[in-house]
This record gives sequence, structure tokens and C-alpha cells, in this order.
Amino acid sequence: MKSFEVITIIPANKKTSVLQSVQNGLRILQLFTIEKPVWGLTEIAHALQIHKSTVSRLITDLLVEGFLQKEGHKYSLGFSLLSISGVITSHLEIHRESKDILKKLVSDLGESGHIAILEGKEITYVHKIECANPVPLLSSIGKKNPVTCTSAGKVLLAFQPTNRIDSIIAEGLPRLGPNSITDPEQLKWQLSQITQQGYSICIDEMHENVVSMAAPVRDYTSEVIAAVSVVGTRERIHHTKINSYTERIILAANEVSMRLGFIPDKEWTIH
Amino acid sequence: MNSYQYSSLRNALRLLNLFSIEEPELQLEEIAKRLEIGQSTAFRLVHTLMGEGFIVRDLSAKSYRLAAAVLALGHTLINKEDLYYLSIDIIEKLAEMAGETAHIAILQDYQALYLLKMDSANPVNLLSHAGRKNPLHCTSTGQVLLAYQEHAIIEQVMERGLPSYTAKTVTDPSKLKNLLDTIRSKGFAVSREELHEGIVSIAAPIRIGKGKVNASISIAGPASRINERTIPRLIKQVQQAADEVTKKLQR
Repeated sequence: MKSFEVITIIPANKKTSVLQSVQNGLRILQLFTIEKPVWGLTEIAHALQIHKSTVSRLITDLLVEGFLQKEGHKYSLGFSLLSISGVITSHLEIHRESKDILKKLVSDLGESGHIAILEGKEITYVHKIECANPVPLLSSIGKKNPVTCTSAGKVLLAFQPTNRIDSIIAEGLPRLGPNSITDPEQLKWQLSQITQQGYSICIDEMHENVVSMAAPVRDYTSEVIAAVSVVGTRERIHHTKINSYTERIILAANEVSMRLGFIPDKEWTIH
Repeated sequence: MNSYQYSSLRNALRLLNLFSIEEPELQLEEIAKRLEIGQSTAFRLVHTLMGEGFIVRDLSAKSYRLAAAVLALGHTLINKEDLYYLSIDIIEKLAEMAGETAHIAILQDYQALYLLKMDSANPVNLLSHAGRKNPLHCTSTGQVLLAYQEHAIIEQVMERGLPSYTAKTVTDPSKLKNLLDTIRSKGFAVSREELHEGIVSIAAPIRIGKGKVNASISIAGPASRINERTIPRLIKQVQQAADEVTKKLQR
């Protein structure tokens, strides 16, 4: 088949040219956030550094397919996005099976909790449950964070094959908080520790004053597919609490794993 | 339709819309076939969508699925809707009390669009989810939404046709009109297996402004549980939840 030859000629991961207009259209969608859910044409053009006439054409397509809707003279996200995100929530087993366990964890500890997965080279939150008095943090559901500065990210990375770890390290290690690990060797050493101990603790790595702890979730094939994490400030999660919190997080992560069909053997049960 | 008329962006968006709860994963050949484009074009679309984090490739299955990152956009959208955040606690309580899946839906493009779905402790596979659209004439949600619309809109829905989904779907326009009259006078709808065999649903209207209805609350579950014995109690619970949301919206 002719089209098949085309595919084999183009190296799959590297140099396939992206479709500029598609990329721009998708980037328009990514501008919309909970903090700024409504955007005007000029603002979009300015934010993306694209001509207004081009943006206008892209918006027309986004409107027709239901990815944007009109809001007076401006635009907000359209219901097609609700529909496709509904498909994900129904399909993603981890989304279904983890919510009530996470809720319980959050209410027990009184701190916000997340379920995170690795998507490409970044972590994505499939659930983010706020505690009763949340510290305003910078991650909203689905918003991506660098994998190397968060406890959930490190747990997910630690159980990846070495070549995947190397390729993520090769992209560079960002410094976001005072304790971000920027030395590849140090990170590799930490990751090997995490695989042995079965949890990860990050202090001041993502932001100053922020503590996070995470444990891995395994599916029926024993593969690590998600992480349960809890995040708070150093004042609230005092270092004397970290051990007991971490144990509780591991318990929650094991509970989710069991729902996904994981059968623990001695190696992964806690004492 | 000739898809060469579509822009690349339109095709990329059509591609995203191909994914459904019935088909959450698609292979490249299937995508190309459904969009009526060549596989090389489909590959470039998929490649660009992956680059922007909208879909991911499952290497073992050689298929593509929507990326969880899309959840953020769905979340942004729904958080803007007053109806969503004013009703979420009420819906959760209803699902718990009734022991059935509860939904909130609005009328959109001659269809019932679910804004919110809340599973109960006994979830059943309903093929419903937030963002799912269902026909108006054969679900309790849709019938409630339709019953309170202007005559012209009811006529338009009938003109568009009343397709049959089960032996119990109402396909006769005059019968549907009678049914809608009854729903209006009673203030609720019970739909028994009109869309899916074995599934019964109960819905009540949410009134906005001057009695205008463009949203409804419903529960759905298996006919074995939603039966003649339990229906009267469930109707009360659904109506009470709908009234609570109405009150909150009017505040």
C-alpha cells in the first residue's frame, strides 16, 4: 500500500513535520484555563503571536466542530471538549477506581491529594482532590508538571525503563524550587532509591515551602501506571509527620493497585 | 462528503470527535477510513495531535486514544457553568440516596447533553458520561427538556424524525405530544426502556428565570431496581433535587 510506504520512510518519532494550522488551533484551546476561561480574538492573536486573520480562520473551524463557543464578542471552550473528556473519564480505569480511595486519603490527612499518570514526558493529574483548607497550589486537573521536580513524577519515572529515563534526563532538568535536582547522576541515584523503598518524598523541589509524597500504583501486570500523591506546605506537613503520612499514602496506592487487579507478593506489601 | 474540503484543523478536530465511549481507542487505518483521508494525512494529524498532548499512542495495541491532558480542558469548560457547580453537591446526594446514577442535562442542538454524571454505590454500565448527547424523545431527561419548550421547537424535533431504539420507543408524533402534555402536568417523566433495553430513568425539570426549563435532573438504572415498587419514592427524590437546584439558581 502506497501510504504505508510513506509512513515507513518518515522516522516516526523525530522529523515528521507538524501541521502548523493544526498546532496553532490546538494551542488556542490550551490558552483557556479556569483562571481565564474567556478569550477575545485580539488577545489570542497576541498571546500566540499569530495574525488576527489567521486566528479568525482557526476560530471558525473550532466553532464549527464545537471546540469553542461564542461568549458575546469573545470565546469560551465548547462542549466537544466536555464530550471527549467524558470519554476519557469513562475509559480510564484508574480514573474510576481511584477517586473514592483518594477522597478518603485526603479527608484522613487533611491535605490535598492527586492521582497522576505519565503521559509522554510529563505527568498529568487525572484526579486532584482539595482538602477542606487547601493551600492554593499551581496544579489544576490535567495541568502538566515537570516529571523530575514532583514526588509523583519521580515515582512514575523511577519505574520506567532506563532508556526512557535517559531520554527524559536528556531533555534537561528544570530548576523550579531551591531543591530541584538538576544533576543527572544524583537524580538517577534517587530514582533507584525510590524503586527500592517504594515511595518518594520531595521537599522544596517544585516550589519553595512545598512538600509532596507519593507512592506507585500497579495494574494487574504489576506495571507502575500511576502515582498517588499528597501535597502541602512545610508548616502543615511538619517533618515529624512525613513518615506516617507516607505510610498512609502507600496504603492508599496499594488499595488502588488491588482494584486494578494487582496481586501483591511479599516484595510490595508493607511490613 | 468530500473530506478534501476540510481544513487540516477541521480534520484534526473531527479526529478527536471520533473517540467515543464505545470506541475509546482507534487504529490509524480506522481513523483514515472514517475521516475519508489518506493514511499519510491521518498520520500527520495524529503526529501533530500527539505533539500537542491531545492523544497518546498505545504501543502494544498500535492504537491511539485521547490523552488525559484533555481532562484539564473539560474541567475548565465545566467550571464556567453555574449550573455545574451549584448542583454538584445536590446531584451527589441524590445519587447516594437513590442508589442510582444521577445526571444533569441541558438542551443543546435538539439533543440532551449531559453536563454531569454521578455514579452511585451500585454503578451500572449506562454508556452515559459528561458531554454525551442523547436523543430527546426517548429518555426521561430529553422528554422533560422537550415538554417545556415552545411549540415550534417540539414540532421541529418531530419533523427531524423519531427513530426507534427499542420496542418501547415512542415513534408516533401524536403519542409523543400526549406524553409531553402528561409530563408537563405531572412535573416529571419516567422512561422505561425507550433508549436501552433494561434501563429505566426518571427526570424532573430545573426551572430557570420565569419558569423556563432548559435543564433537567435524572437518575437511571436497571429495571430490576427501578420498578413499580420503588418508582414513587425515586420520583420524589428526583423532584426534590430538581427543586433544590432551581432554588439555588434563582438566588
